[in-house]
Amino acid sequence: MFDIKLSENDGFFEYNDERYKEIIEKLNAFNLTEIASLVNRLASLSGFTFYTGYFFRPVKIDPIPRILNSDEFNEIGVELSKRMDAINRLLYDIYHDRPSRLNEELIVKSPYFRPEMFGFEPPHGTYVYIMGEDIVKVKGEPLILEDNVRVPSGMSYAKRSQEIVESILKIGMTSKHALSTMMDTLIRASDTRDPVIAILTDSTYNSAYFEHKFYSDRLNLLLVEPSDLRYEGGEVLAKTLDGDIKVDVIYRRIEDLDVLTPGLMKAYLRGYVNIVNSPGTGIADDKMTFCFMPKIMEDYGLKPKLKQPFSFPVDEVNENAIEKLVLKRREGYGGTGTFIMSELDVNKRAVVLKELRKNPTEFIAQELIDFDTVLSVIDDRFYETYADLRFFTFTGGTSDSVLSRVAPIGSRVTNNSSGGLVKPVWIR
Amino acid sequence: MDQMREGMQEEKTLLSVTYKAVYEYEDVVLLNDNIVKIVPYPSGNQRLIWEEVKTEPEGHKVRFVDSFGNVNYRIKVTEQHTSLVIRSESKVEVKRVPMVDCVLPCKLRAEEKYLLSSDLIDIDFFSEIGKKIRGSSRTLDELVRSVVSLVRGSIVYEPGSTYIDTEASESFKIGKGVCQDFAHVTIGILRASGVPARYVMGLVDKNPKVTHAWVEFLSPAGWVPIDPTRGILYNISYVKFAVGRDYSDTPPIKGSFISSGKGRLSKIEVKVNAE
Repeated sequence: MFDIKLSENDGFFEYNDERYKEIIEKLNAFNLTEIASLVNRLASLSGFTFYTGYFFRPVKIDPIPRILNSDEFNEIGVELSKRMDAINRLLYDIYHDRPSRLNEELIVKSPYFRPEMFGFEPPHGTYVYIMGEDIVKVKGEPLILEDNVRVPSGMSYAKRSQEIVESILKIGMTSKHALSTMMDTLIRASDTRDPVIAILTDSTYNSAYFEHKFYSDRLNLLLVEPSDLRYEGGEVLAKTLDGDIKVDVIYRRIEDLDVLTPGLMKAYLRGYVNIVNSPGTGIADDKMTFCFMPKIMEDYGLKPKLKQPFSFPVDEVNENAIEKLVLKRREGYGGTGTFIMSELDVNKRAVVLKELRKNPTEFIAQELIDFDTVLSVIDDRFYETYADLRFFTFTGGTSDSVLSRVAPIGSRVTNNSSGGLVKPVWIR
Repeated sequence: MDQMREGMQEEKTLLSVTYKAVYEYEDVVLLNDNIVKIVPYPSGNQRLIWEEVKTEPEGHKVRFVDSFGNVNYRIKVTEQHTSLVIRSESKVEVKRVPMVDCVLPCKLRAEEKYLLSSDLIDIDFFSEIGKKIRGSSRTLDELVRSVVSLVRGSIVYEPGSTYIDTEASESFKIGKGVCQDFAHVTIGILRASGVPARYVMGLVDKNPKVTHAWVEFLSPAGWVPIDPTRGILYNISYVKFAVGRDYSDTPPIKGSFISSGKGRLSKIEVKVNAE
């Protein structure tokens, strides 16, 4: 049907999956390369960008939808809610000086540990309201790669790419409760029924500014920068054109609250405002925590069904085995600090190993995963590419807007910071 | 028997310890986040009876014990300030560990980390010297004495000649250093000759002025202290604050602050008094 440039890998190609037959037939009615160019023109007109530190890179859309069955989506959703529950209970234990599976020294020394949260009772006992879960498929089975519980981004990219592609293909691809799940979660994070919710961005130069603006527009959230906020007489006030407004919930999209909004942290600790996600969640984002997640979940009686690759602290690995593994820096994100040892040349490998011996606690090791490939249209050709899935789980449930990030041709690294594409996901 | 017990009892001393560091800044500091190790080591030959760690302005404080057994506090000060006082008061019982000699190789079990290279100590650099000393020593005591006299013969004490991150090999090459470097080189040679050795940071027991660094090596009686800088072997009852592979594991205060001005340590006051 299509003339596809295959990858050199002989793993599982999702295109050969039964459920793709119907959609491939539908897509055959279109000239997909023309559609790709149209979709991308529309995307750039709607400001669909990701700021890279130098310029606003338009995020390219690969218009071939990736399909998830609603049964499998629901199953994954249940598992992710369990995971969120476990993470919240873990954070509660850590910040209340109770023993956990994790090494106390590594936690307390971490830059993501916030001493001011120690002993603090967060509103509703909840630290993480929103998390972004990276999942790949291996022979059709989902496998979780990472928990993102600081300021995960991407749902707007999923939603918007789906809307743009659907506006042209008209195949009935929608997501019904992505934004409402988010909104319910933010409302319930407050103590009132009709809270004022602000989304806190650092500026238009945030890499995901498109997303901050998108939520503000669609959900009628105040879009504020740190200098718009002030803490006065037991209230957090946001400056607006109509005067000051008392804010009840802040959906923070910045990491640094200490310097940018020092008063906000004080107001939060005194209970005058809720911050979503709470400060100090980064310790659960640590890849060392990820290693222990299956055990942590069992400790809380939440037996996980969703599998994760075998991951462990490096000091438990013998040196010969390291060559076959992926080494990850505990605090790396956006694809940085990930080393596929078998793909490095001798010199680079030596550099990584030396760094590893000096600071073994900075790394974790993970088995190398050969995940499934998908079909993509990039420019005017069809390619077999690597793509992941990012699910967005809220305290109110898992969003049916799922992001699929496609790695640049020939690469397996799918992060947007690494220059890939996004692909709409269709849950049917 | 009675006499011996009496002797053992005499070796214990109860000390009260004070540590106070004052930092001053050119401009307002918005945030000051530090990990401090200024409380006596709570195990081995020391029994920590009581401790209090405080800062001015006050900060958010979390205590933890690290993988070396050191008591750490992470203290984050979020109140604006232009000077920061970090202080500890504590009571500790220190027991003198006697040196018990053995014929080499003593075959003592130690954690591997005290035999290998670490951040600031590259034992490969000392392997030749280590081999030579090991070859000419019959007992552990002989070996330790040779190492200390070699170090004292090779390095001259000179404040300001090295930095906190100077590697052992570097100070050995230039032949200069301070207590930290004496300790690093001694550890490097001890490890290279097969003797487990660790870095110790703390206070000397008589009229301390600042924190000091010395060395402990493993003997059949456990970890025995030596002070290569002052040339004192074995009979030491200094107050240990922290132990580690080298300086990098043991700095008394380490952290960061956010300010547009520079900061400096303006005063340090330490006291060790017998109760």
